[in-house]
Amino acid sequence: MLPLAMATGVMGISFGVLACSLGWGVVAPMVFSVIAFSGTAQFAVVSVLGGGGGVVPAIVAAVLLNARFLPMGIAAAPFLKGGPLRRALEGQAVVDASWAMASRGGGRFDREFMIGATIPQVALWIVGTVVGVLVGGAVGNVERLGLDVIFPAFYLTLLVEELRAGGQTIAVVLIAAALSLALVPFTPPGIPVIASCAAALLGLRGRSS
Amino acid sequence: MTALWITIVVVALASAAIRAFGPILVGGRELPPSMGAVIALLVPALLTALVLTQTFGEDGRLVLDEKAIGVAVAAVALSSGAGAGCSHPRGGDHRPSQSLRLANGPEISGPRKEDLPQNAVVALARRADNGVNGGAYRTSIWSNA
Repeated sequence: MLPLAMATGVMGISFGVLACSLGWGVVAPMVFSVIAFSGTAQFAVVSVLGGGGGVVPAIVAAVLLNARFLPMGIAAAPFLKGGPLRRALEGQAVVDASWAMASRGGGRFDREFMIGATIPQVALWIVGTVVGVLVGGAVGNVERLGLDVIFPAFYLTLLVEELRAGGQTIAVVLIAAALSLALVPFTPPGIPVIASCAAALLGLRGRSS
Repeated sequence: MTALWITIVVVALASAAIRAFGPILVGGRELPPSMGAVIALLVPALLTALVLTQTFGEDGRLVLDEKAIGVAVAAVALSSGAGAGCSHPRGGDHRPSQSLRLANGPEISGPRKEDLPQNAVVALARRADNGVNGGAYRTSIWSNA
């Protein structure tokens, strides 16, 4: 958990530095991190606006990337508590790493664990952004640190755990891999991840493992 | 409002709405058993896509560069010590390792014997790591102490 939160913090610095270099000022990047807390979507907005793109392409890119939170939220929904408003609020704790770690197998999710894992990540994301905008260019290119490999590496370790279920899980992973890799060159970012969810429909055929 | 602020507010609202949609729609209901199986398989499906797109996808292209090595090495480092977090319920009783050096020869403690998939990754990572820049990938050092 700690390496992940730290990596999130460094990515936050990276975001702050990038946003600052685009002339966003000090307040806008911080507000963005506080109200959106979504690294992928925020970096997408930076790259679209920074590349001279307009408001609509920036929003579309961010929404496509975050569309994966829809199936994730549906999966975690039965385990959240309270009325609709509170559930909607608890659903905000759905971020990739926390959601995946809170999975208890068989479609069950650990609500307390998910929320508990998200809080430090969000906190460090915001702190990192603040540091990034304040120190600005002094940090240089944070990407050089190579910490961006932490996230896929972390998901890979979780995936290895999942693969122990064998049988159907292996088939789903192979289909998801084929789908996502095949779509990367032809679709906007975000679509390959969403499309890979289709692999899970294999579950409708019943447990065969 | 400037274009920037419009983008920030709309993206934040959209993200919140996307995250709220499932919880509000499903509420506290148990999902039907057939859906349960699908949801259980969403985890490996989404993890696969996240790993692959973040490792090999760049600006709408598939690229194979040193990042793949970095991901493999970092995955081994994570699973052999710090693991998926010392509090990861499926990860067993993992203690955080003292330090993980991903550059200049990674200090990677051996994986547990029963972890065959991880052994495969170790082999892959070691082979790959020796092949590029004499093992110096990117400087990435931290301590869990």
